[in-house]
Order: sequence, then structure tokens, then C-alpha cells
Amino acid sequence: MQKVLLIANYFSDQDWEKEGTSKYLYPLGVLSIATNLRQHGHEVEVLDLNVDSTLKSHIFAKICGFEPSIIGLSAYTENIDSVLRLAKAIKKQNPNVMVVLGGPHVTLFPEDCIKNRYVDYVVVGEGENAFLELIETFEDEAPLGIGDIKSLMYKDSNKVVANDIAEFISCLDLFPLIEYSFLSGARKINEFRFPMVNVSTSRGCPGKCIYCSAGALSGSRYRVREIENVFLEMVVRNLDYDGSKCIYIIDDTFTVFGKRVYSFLRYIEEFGTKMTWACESRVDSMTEELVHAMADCGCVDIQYGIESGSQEVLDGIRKNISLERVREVIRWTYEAGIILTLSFMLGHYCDTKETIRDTIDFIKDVYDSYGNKTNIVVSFNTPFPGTYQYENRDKLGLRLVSERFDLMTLGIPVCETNCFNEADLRNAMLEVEPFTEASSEGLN
Amino acid sequence: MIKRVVVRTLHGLSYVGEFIRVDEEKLVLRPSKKSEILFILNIESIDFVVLANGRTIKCEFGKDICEAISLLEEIG
Repeated sequence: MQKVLLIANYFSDQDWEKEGTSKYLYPLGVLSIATNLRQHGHEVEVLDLNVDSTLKSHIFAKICGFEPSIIGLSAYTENIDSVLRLAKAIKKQNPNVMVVLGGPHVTLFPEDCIKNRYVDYVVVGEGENAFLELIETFEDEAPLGIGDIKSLMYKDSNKVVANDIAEFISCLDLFPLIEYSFLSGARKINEFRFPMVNVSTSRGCPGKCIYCSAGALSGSRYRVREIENVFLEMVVRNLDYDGSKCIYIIDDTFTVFGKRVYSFLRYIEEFGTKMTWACESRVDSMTEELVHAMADCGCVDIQYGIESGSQEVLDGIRKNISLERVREVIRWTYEAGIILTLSFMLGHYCDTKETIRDTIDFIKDVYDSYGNKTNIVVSFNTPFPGTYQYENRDKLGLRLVSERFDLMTLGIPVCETNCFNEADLRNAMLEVEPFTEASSEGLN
Repeated sequence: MIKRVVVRTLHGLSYVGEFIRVDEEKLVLRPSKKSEILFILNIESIDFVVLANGRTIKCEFGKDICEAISLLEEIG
């Protein structure tokens, strides 16, 4: 059996070399891989740098104490440089440890990552099966050779070898429930917006929004867990915290299939389950009846991606929603007593100073009408790799002001067009900040 | 419903699925309606079972597993 240390780096632009912590979401991908490895008898530990001390000495004390033979690092676009520096530091101190990279950025740029001299293997896409098969090749009676492991990239005599890519996992129910006990005590409660426990019920998104990389990362085929299993998991998570924490369904869009959501609600009613939960949704999948049914069954917060206050822009970014519908769904949700979390972005390729003004006005209007029950989140449009807008940025007239991935944090303007520049976006953000701050404070 | 349960093992893993049967000291769960793959768990390794109504039955080392199953029949 192998000893494996999985390290979840910062999501943000913070660095493992500096002391500090951030509050963000559970590293569910890392935890899912860790759970799968434990199921197969391997000894696994997880170091989540978002909460555990990130001091270099702490990381290396952990490595020294646990003595893993394999260390897995997950990387997002904004932290890839930091992750590669960590890989280097690990290899310098522990040259015999195998370093495996995975995660969203690695999936999009596997060749760039494997070419790094301090990286031994790269896992592309969903990591549960490939990581397990990889570490089993280090066992005496390995069922597969390195060349047989799908979605794996590695070096052989300094040449890059890319194995075939595995299909996306079709049945998400064949894994044990993600084990949160790998996290340190503080991390077991997620305090991103309020104390919450995360549950994932699907992978992928049927949407075609040009700013989102879900299609490239999780497949455009939307895959769901059986809703009975989801309900049971939520019952257990609720028991784990004596019903005191909100359960946050972390899917890109929980409400894609209305019938599935209604089945979930029926189980809550049938068993009299007392729990509070929240989810992310799209306005085009909501009805007034569904919103009220969700509220009656403990839903306390729904996040809707609105993205712009201009219909022209919504059409241009293939959001496939109408502002009329947005206003309706916001009203229904407010009337149902559910807290609204509305997210917007400034600086779409088709934005102009006028459409940015429309978005600012829309935000002010929503705040004036529903401010006491609304959490408004505004970020800068960021062309992440894997998105349509990144791949087609020249055609769209979108210019990156910097090629630095570590600036892609959503909190820094990184693109401009002939119609707006960095300063315009910063000024627009200053204008909406009083509403985003005020609305957040209202919920605390 | 759904004769579904969550089974927590002493190894610190939780499995969710439809209860199929107990035989030869093994608890058999089907994780998905369409799945031909089954979870087969040693009864000795079960810590507790959680039913859909939130009832938790401590079954450490296989003890009281029958109680858990009979309750499941009732709510099923």
C-alpha cells in the first residue's frame, strides 16, 4: 500500500510561501481522490493550505512526519505558478518522492505542466481513477502498466508521453461519500459566506456560456447522482453537525431537471427532515411554484448568475436568459423568503460603457428593491483558459492586459476591448462596491 | 422510499445505496438503480447505519445490524 499526501493549494493569489489563510470552498476534487484511495487501502493525508499553516516549515514538517512516497498537487489557473514552485521545493528536499499534478489548470495545459522538471506525472480531467491506477503501478503486482493508464501524461527518457484520455465518469454513485475527516478541524466548517457544509450532486453544466470553463473541464454532458443518494448524504451531513449548519449544494446548477428537484423536496417532506440548504441555479430553470416549494423545504439561499444588466450583452455571452425573466425570478425568490445571491461581471467582450452603465443601474435597482435580502457579488470578467472567450479572444476583440495567470483572480481587471479599458472597469467597480458591501453586511 | 441507507465503516468511509441483502457476513448495497456493481461490506467492519428518516443505528462490529435492517423494512 502506498502513502499519499494530497495538497490543495490556495484558490486565490495568496502564496504558500507566505503565512496566512483564506476562506473558500472545500477542495472537493482532492477529497474525492483521497476518499477513493482510502477505499482501496492506501494511506492518505490531505494538507489544505487554505486553512492549514502555509509556512514552508509546516509543509515540510508534514512531509517529514508522514513520509509519503507520492505527493499530489492540485492547481487552478490563478495558482499554477505557486504550485510549480511548491513542486520544485518538494523535489529539492525529497528527490525520491513522486510528484503528481492534477486539477483544472493542469487539465487545460497538461503538456506545459509535464514539461516542468519537478513534475513526474500529470493527471488530466477527473482524477479518481487515474490517480488510483497510477499509484497501484508502484505495487508489486500492478494490474496496469504506466502506458495503460488513461488520462495520464508523463516523461519517458525526457520525451513527453500522453496516454489516451478517459471518458468522463458516467456513474457518480459508484464512489463512497466524500470524506471530510481528511480536513483539519477548522476546515470541516466552510465559512465562505456563512457556515456551510458542501455537497456535490452533479458534474458538468448544460449551459454554453462563453465565459465558463465547465464544458471543457467536466464535459458538456451533464451527469447527476441519483437524487435518493443525494438526499441520504444530506441527511448524514445534517446529522454530523446536529442540524446547525447550512448544506450548500455546490453544483454549477442544481435545478437543471425540475423533476429531480421535486423528488428531492418530496423526500424532505416525507421524512420530515429539518435542514437548511442553499444552491446555485439559473433563472431559466426556475418557476414560481418551484421557488416556493424549495423555500418550504428548507432552502435559505439561491445564487443566480445574472452577469449583466444588458440584454444585448446577455445574448452576446450566450447566457440564454432574458432580463424580464431575471426580474421575475428575483421577485419570486424574494417573496418566498429565500436570500438572493446575485452575481455579475464587468467587462464582457461585448460590453460598452453604456452596457456597463446598464449593469450598474440594474445592481442599484435590485439593491433598492431587495437589498435587505440580497447578497450582490460583482467580479471582473476573466477569460480563463478553456472558455470560449479565451480560445476566441482575438476574434471577439478581447485583449488580455497581462499574460500572468496569477492575476486571474476575478478581483483584478485583466482584459480590455476597443470600448472599455482597465480604468473604466475599476471605476465601475468603485461605483457598485457600496451596494455589494452593504448587501453582504445585511446578511451577517 | 427507497430502501436506501448510508453505511459508515470503521475504516472511516461512508457508502450510500439501496439495501439488497445480508449474506455470509456481508452487507450488500446497490449504489445506483442501473448499476451492476454492488458495494459488498463486511458486517464486522460496519460502525453505524443511517436510515432516510435520520435514525442512526450503532452496529459496531456487526452488532444490531438486524435491527437496522428491520427498521429499514418498516420505512421502505
